[in-house]
Amino acid sequence: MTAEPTITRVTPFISYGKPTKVKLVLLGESAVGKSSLVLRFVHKQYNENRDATIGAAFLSQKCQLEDRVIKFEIWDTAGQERFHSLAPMYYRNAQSAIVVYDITQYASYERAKQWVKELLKQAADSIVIALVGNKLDLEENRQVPSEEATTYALSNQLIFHETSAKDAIHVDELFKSIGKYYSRVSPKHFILTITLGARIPLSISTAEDTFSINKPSHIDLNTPTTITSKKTKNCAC
Amino acid sequence: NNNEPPTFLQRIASADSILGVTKQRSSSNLSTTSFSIPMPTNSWGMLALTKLQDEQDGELDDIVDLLLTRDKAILLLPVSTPSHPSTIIDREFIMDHVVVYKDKQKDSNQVIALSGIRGLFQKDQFIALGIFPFEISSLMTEEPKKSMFDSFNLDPCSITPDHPKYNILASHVQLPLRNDKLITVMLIQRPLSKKEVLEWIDTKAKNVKSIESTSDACSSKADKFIKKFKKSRPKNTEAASNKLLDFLDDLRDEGVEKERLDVIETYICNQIYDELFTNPDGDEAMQDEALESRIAALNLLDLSLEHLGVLLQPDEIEKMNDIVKLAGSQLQQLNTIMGAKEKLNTLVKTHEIIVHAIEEFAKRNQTLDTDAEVVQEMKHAMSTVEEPQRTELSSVNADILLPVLIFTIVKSNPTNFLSNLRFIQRYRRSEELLSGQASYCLTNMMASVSFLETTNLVGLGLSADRVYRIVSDVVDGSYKVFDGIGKFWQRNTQELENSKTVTGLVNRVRKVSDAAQPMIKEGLSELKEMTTTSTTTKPSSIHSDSTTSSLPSFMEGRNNRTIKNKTPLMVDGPISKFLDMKSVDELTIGDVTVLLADYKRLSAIIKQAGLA
Repeated sequence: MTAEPTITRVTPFISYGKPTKVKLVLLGESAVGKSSLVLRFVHKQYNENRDATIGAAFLSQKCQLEDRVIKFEIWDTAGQERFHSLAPMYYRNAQSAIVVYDITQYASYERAKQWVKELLKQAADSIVIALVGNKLDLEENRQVPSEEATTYALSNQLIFHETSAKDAIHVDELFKSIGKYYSRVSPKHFILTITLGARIPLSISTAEDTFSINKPSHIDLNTPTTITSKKTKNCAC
Repeated sequence: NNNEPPTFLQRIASADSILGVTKQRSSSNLSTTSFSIPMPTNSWGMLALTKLQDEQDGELDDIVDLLLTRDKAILLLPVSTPSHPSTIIDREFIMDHVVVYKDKQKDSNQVIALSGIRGLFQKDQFIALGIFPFEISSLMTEEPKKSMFDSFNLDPCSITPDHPKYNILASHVQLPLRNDKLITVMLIQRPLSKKEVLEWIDTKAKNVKSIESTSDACSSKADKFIKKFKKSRPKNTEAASNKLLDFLDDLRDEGVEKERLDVIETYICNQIYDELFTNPDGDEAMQDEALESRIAALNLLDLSLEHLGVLLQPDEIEKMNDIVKLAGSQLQQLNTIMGAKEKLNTLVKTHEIIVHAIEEFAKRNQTLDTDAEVVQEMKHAMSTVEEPQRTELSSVNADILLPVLIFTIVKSNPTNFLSNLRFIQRYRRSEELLSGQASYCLTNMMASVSFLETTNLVGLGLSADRVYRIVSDVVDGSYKVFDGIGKFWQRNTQELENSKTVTGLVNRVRKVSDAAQPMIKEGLSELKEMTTTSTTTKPSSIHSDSTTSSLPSFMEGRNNRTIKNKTPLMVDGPISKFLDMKSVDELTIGDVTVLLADYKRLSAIIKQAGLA
């Protein structure tokens, strides 16, 4: 695969004053709760959401992050196997991807790993990938151990969260940690961060506890520094 | 000009003289002349003819007189059937279908209907040009005045693809009208309708109106651009795209607002639509046709939502069909809308119709019986987030939207669909295409097309038995359909293998076909044989690399797009020259030998496939 120059992918969404647009693709099997996750995230402002009129297939949500406003444009994809080959048309030009599996279905995890592999191989180098194990509310039926998925995510430098769209667990954290990649950096540093640091996991949260890796050791000034829990107003995150 | 093939009317003219002989020989024997195109007794045309033949009812006598006495008057009979069985043919309908020629000289192909529809015959089509603006009752009693036609003595180049068009199936069929008197009629595919023409004029007028509102510095720049564009036409659509987008980018850089840019974009699209749209004789138009015939084949095979993974209860199927019909009517308008932005809006509207209808549908089902007789699949596919205080919030997601979109495209089979998507891709301003909901909608449509182009029948679970039967059913009736299915089968594996990005899929597809029952497999190989043996001597040529789908070109960006021109290797169908012939009169003696040889070849194929 030939990578396009990073600059063309990154430039369009750097603009001060206006929110930074981030195209985010949702991948994962049907019925793992891909779009429930997103609906949960945008839910608070769902009714005001005027520029999205086609249900959960396309949603947009602004998200205030310290000095920058990010506008996620969330593209849903059909999860059925028969539509698999169409995915590249969706993740092409995407700045981030959320790959969702169901913690109670091991097969959906296997499938998610396939997506990750494909993204690492074929998507833009700068893409930020988050692996998400959904349906944490069904802990008693868990088939995918947290440790296994965490190890996989770490070794592939993915953002990783276990969530429950139903009970709203770790959903906002998920989007916040993706948003961090697009925040608090000057354009020049920003591009560097995207190209060099995109695959460094920023945060990992599982059922047991939440922890963050704030400073990946081998990248210094380009990486967003501290992650604080400072709440900002008028924001979905 | 002398090198051009004989015009439609010239062909009629030469046929007329031969028919004159036939007429004498067979006197009023109707069966010899109305042979080739079947016209069902309940078709519009048959109903109209019966009405005209009825001597008791004096209402149409003047029109009958006109048809019997005036050489220049021709009756058009649609072979399609009305959707409602008790449809009444009224005088208005007849008036739409009686056309009068400008004069007996064959240099004109322009006609005017008694109802005032103006049009011309071109390439075996009747193209509506407009409605005659003045009182035309004089047409009934006297020869049309030459001046009536002067107002639309137009250059055929100015006919845009959006004109209402009607295919002509047979041009000089002789039928008895009254008292054994024969008249010449023309068989057309679907009824002409003044209403349709009026609606088309309205849409056009609306476009013009939105253009007129731009009279500022920009509009004069736009006019200059158009003039320049026409003077030095870009050599291909890619160059045209760059030219137009550069112009709009320059305006943007000068500080012109987004809304104004949209209006100018629409204005330019409307003004030079013909130069911007796919060349009707080019490769892309061929891809359009290939997609259309593929979709036609899918329709013949009764593709249902179930094949696309959406299961519905019997009582829901009808409701879903309504939704799909409504959404499909949007897609069918795509080809008559000329602005890139407006075309894109049509795609968004199609999405909205589907999403809203399904959401309404699901909501009602939820309230009616909470125990959810709602289809499992549907429920799975709908995302729900429960909120403690209020009711469930459910929404349509891509798992259900995409299959329904694909199904909608199949059911509506929009004209020049691919070209219209490309038009949007080429001429919509890039900043509007890079992000936002509309961009998502366009991607969905392209993904759907790519799916339709690459998916194979077995993968969809369309039964091979069904395929078998359909092929045998249609093999003698319509070669076009036969051809379409042949292409379909051939492209199955080939296409997938060509595209490196989807190699994984090939394996899966193989697995699926391997898993299929031996019976089906047998049927499959028969069909494969059928498609290969006719083209080449080596039967294994099915895997040769000869096709490309438009998927690769969609995946590439606007700037590094390359258009692949390879045409699919097809089964040699029947010789198209003969299919295009309107009657036996066009055959030469030499043709008979060719025809016989080809007949033998085709029957061998059919035999080999075990269909005979």
